[in-house]
Amino acid sequence: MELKEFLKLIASEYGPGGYEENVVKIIQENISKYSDEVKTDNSGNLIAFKKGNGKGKLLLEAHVDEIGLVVSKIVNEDYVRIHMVGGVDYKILPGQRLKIFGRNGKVYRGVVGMLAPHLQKSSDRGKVIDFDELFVDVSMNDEKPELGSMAVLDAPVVELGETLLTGKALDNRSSCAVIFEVFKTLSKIKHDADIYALFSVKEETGGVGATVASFSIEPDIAIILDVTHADVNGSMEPEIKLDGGPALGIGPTVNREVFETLKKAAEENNVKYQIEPLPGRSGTDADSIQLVKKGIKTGLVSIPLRYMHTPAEIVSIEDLKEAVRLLTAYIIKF
Amino acid sequence: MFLSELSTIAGVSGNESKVRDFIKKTIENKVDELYEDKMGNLIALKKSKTQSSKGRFAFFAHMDEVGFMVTRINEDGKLSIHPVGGVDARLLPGKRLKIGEKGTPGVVGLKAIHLQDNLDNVPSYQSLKVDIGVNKKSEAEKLVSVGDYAIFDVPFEEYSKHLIGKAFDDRGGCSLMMDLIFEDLKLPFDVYFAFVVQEEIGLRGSGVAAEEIKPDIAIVLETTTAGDNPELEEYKWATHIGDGPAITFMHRGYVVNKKVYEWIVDTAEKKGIKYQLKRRTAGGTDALSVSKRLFGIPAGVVSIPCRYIHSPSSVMYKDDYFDTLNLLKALLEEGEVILS
Repeated sequence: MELKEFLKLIASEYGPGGYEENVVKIIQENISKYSDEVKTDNSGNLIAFKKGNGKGKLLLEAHVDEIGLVVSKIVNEDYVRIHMVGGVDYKILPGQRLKIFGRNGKVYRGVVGMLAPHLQKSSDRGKVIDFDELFVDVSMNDEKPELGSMAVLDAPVVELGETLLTGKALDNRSSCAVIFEVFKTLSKIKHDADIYALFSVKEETGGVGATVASFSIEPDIAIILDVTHADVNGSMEPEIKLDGGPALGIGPTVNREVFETLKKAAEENNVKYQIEPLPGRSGTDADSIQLVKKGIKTGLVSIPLRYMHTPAEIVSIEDLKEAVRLLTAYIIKF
Repeated sequence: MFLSELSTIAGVSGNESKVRDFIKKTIENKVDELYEDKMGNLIALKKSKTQSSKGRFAFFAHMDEVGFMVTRINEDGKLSIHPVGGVDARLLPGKRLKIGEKGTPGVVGLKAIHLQDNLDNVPSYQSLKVDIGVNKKSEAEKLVSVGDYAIFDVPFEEYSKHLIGKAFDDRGGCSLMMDLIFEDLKLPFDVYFAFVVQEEIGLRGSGVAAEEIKPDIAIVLETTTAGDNPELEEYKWATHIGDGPAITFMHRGYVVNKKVYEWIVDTAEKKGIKYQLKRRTAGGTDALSVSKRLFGIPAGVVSIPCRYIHSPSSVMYKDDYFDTLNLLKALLEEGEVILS
């Protein structure tokens, strides 16, 4: 499957932390034919393996989970309350349609309601509605979701102009799609290192998946793929641009040699790239993977993305393609 | 019911032509007269075969919906928008819009949660911008223009008992009128159907249509707010979905003509049709503007209750729609009482 189509497919599927199996299944089905071995582990992580000449072990990692919501209270037949699974800004919710996933594969509709302006009092107006007051209308379902049902924003990925995509879960299915494309490319070229692809679970809720899977793989080097904030105005924020190519992280959570090699690979192959300064922890799985066992050398490659954790996330397919070229060049160099 | 089609058409106040075209095309063979007035109101006439009553009866429903207008294209290619009618800015973050005649896609961006100093800054039209995927004013100008209208880009959905969609206010009323036109009713008098413009920006279309029609009596068909939210005590609800058509005794600026109001309630009771009274007086309807025209037209209001109107995801209970339709049919058949 072509990169853009594959990204649309996996990003539109649902998979909040702990409930990633549908996404994992699609990736598994598609990556199998480009891998020597594919398996899932106890935690639900998906690991694909592509044999090289036994010269070193390289891990490419991306988390598969997305931000979501959980039904935290049943009010009555018509309404439920929700809470966040990962960092969800409650300001994106009023008027939003949700897909709610109950037990036994049942799918429900939810509508985050909002009092019409006609009935608002002046004291209702000047404030943000947080999780204490937000409510979800589930009246339209013949059967109702249960307490503990997971939900995601119903905002499937669509095209915005010729090269951009917008929708939910582009954080971090964009990176998953990049790794998938790299595996496709690897099937056509020779590489020395054994390559592991790790699609890890539960990053948004604390990064459990990446840690345990890295423990079992024990790579020499791990390249973590995630997304990063693009086009943010504000003097303190790094100037990362959409369509500026993948961002190479630099800072304490990234091994300097790995960074330099990535940068060199980019320059030698005319891959567009940007540098993302990370003065503390990166907020990605690199933070935990670096500390697995006796330590793992990490590199961080991020896809620029606008409006992270909203249903209006935007990425450029050009940045993904550049990331694929970068990683392929890096693997050949390895 | 024509809501699946009507809901998805773009027709913000002042730009109702696509809604009007759809209605015109659908009903033209079912009415005796059909014309558009200077304002853009679409007026249809169904003649009585019996002419047992000489009066003129008129229904009104508005075609326009709330939405947005592009007011500025900024240097960075992002659009500033202003609401057309009442759309709460808090609904906008993260939503998709369709802009202009071509329906150019755009999204309302919001700074990532990770980068906000204060999560409780209230979204406002000053702070929100629409991203159409370009970085320069000159590129944006190839896709959109200042003055373009925009709507929420959301699908219509049908469930076993409920509907979800935008613009139910007042495509619900338009759909009711279309259903009445399609029904083969024994009309005791001539009935006019006015699909009017510009309700949401101050009840501007209906008065002109009333001058054109000169009805002896008018009933305004609306889709009205429910407000039966979980945190509101029941005594604060305006209406409740599932309880049938909402009949208005008074709203902002207009006490419904007593004779008309009682006739509607009496008819519902006589025919055993489920109904509720609208229990809040907030919000106005075209009954206010119609009642001020000519020598004062007696006007009543019947509405389909609906949750979250003026949002991208209104929720309607289908039986409320059909109970409302049944009440309107009963009114037409019993209409001689009121016009005699």
